Amino acid sequence: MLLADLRHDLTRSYSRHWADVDPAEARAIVDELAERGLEALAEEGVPEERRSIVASADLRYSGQHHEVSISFPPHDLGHLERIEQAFHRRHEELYGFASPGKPMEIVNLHATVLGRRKPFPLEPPSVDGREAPRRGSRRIYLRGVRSLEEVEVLDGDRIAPGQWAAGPVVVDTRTTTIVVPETFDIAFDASGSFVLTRKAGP
Amino acid sequence: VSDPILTSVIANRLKAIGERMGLVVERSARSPLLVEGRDFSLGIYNAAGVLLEQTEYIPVLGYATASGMRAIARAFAANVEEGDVVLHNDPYTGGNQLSDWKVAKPVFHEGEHFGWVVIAAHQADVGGAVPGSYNPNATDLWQEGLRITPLKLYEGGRRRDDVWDFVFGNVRLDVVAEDVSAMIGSCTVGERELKALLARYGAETVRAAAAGLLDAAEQAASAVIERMPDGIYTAEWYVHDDGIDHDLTATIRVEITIEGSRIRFDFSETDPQVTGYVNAPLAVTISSVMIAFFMIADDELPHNDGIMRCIEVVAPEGSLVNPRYPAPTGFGNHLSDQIAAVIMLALAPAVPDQVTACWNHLLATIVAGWSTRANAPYVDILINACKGGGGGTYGADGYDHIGLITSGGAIAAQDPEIFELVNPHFLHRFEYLPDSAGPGRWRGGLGVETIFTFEDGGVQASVFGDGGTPETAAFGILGGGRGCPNEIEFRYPVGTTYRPHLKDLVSAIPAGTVYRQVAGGGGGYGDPRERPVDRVLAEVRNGVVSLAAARRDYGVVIDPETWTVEEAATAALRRAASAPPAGSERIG
Repeated sequence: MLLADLRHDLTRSYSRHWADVDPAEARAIVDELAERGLEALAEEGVPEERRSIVASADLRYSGQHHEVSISFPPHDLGHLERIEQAFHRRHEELYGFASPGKPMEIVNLHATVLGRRKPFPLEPPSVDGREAPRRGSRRIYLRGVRSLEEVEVLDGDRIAPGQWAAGPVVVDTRTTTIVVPETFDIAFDASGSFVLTRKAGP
Repeated sequence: VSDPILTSVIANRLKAIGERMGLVVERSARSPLLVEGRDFSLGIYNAAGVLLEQTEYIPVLGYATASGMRAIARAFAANVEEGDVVLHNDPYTGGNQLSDWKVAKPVFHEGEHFGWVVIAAHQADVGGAVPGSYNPNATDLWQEGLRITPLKLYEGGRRRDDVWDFVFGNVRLDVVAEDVSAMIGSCTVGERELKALLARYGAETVRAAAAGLLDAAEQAASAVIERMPDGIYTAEWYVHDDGIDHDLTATIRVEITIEGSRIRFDFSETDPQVTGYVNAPLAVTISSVMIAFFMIADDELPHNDGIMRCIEVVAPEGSLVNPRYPAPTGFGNHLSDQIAAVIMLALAPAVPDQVTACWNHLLATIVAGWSTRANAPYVDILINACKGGGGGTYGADGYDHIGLITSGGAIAAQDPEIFELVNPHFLHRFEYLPDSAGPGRWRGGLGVETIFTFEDGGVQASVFGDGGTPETAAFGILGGGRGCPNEIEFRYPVGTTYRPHLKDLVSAIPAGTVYRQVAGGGGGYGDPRERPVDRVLAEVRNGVVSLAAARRDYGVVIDPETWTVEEAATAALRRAASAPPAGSERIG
């Protein structure tokens, strides 16, 4: 999360038949939204050369319930046929068909401003050789034996590279839970990944 | 011999392709039946029409598609080329309902026909005498809708405009052509993805994996059946009102034989077909058996044709569950409710911990009219209003407001704002109905009550369903009580009220008419006096069980001043020997 670019998404509902879109009005809305985004980036200290703007519109064929979002440079609002072509193409790509010539609608206009950040060096996790810490046990359903069994729970956030455990075992981490069935072992490798390996068969 | 890991990778890829195809329709179609109701299913088949992978949104559509797909594969066995698109709905060549159209596209790899991708989806209108194509007055299939035997809409990538114009010139609503376009798009996306899979692994490897999948499904299903006690189990359950005779009761009888790793569902003693449209095409009967079997199975099973090697379905021609051409079948798709119920009832003594009590039987209304606001005709099934409760089962209450059993919970609840946006209806009430659930140790799911006003006049409503009386509502099992029955009424502006028959056509509904519907609750499982007292108290506090029902059904006495349980009175009431609650089916 520390590495992500800064981004502001600004949206205005703009619901009308595509044939009734006024390019100047749409452009003014996008420019106003973009201006607010650029001000926010300036406050966040992003230098001008690292800022960029993308406009997008949510479009659909009349009668559809869901929209397809099409991104374009803001000046394309002076060439609506480009946006329309991009919509037909994207619709075909996503849904296997397009209906050029059928009535279309626009629902929302968006401006997205990006503040690109400088690259950040990544350090591999350090090795400290601690035991894989246990944090108790839990009853889980093992499909292989079709029953609930008490198994050990490991603290995945404090596990160190090179350590391993035999299944069945549960590894709790802050963001996920890994269930290791009785037919697998689990190891924590140097890159910081959990690796499950099938036990040698009977 | 195929590599089991590669087989699993390919199996999951096939599943993902089916899911992607479903997403395409959900996002790009127009009728609320598809976008909101998700009334469709997807499948991937080999060239001969054997089901390799099925992604059900609505399960009854899924297994029913298999027999129609076989008919398509047979019809075009020697005449299929890349870019073809085939349309089908005929109940007498494997279809399940005239309203459920199948669109299939062949998939080629290196010039060879590998298989088919198919989607089956409910159409807003398919012609016939009644908009929306539920015609309770039908006595043959042509009065119900356009019959489509396997028909090429596209040939070699070119649309056959003559066929297209003919088909869509015979349905009332433009939205159907748009929805079929979305279905074709869905098949095109499925075709692209399947071709990518074939390009990556080669046809031989994918074919070997598919054979492995079928074998694995057979093995898994065999193991499930082996764990069920051998024996012969019978039950009967009833269908009411065929549209022609409102007093008709017809009986579905099943004899289920479990022997080792094989199971047979024999409907030979079921009543003959009837005059009206409640006859279930064979595809529906097979599909309903499969759905009930999947629900009863104590393990997850792959959904492909390998399972059919362990299951036999006997449904004599000329019966309610396999009518003779050209009997009307428009409601027959919904006989799946009764077929699934009779199977649950029959197998309750064999596998009491795996069956469910009866789910609320569908009672639905499809409305057709003119929207002044949209200046266009509209047709919609009142989806939310018809979704009743599921049956309770060992260890779990029935699902609340889930909809009919053979949708398996897949009918999405419609957003009330979208409901008012796409229909000229003003919604007053849409909420759980207290005491609608059948009481039980695990109660049935709650039903709902819906009230709205028709804002435009001249509406026609086709009512279709069952479960309209306490005796025919969702039964409880093993001591559980039944759910409340379904109800529909039209309160006209002049002050009169009309309560329609279970199958009825209500015409010329004036603007300002108030529509009220109760979708009943599911049946309860087990003696309600064994339900933990604190759960009963919690539900009374939540307003879904009344004080009176807590005392009468659950034997729990609650002080209405303090909202706490009167322990002594409760213990005494629960100790007292008592008969099972009303509506519990005697088992065994």
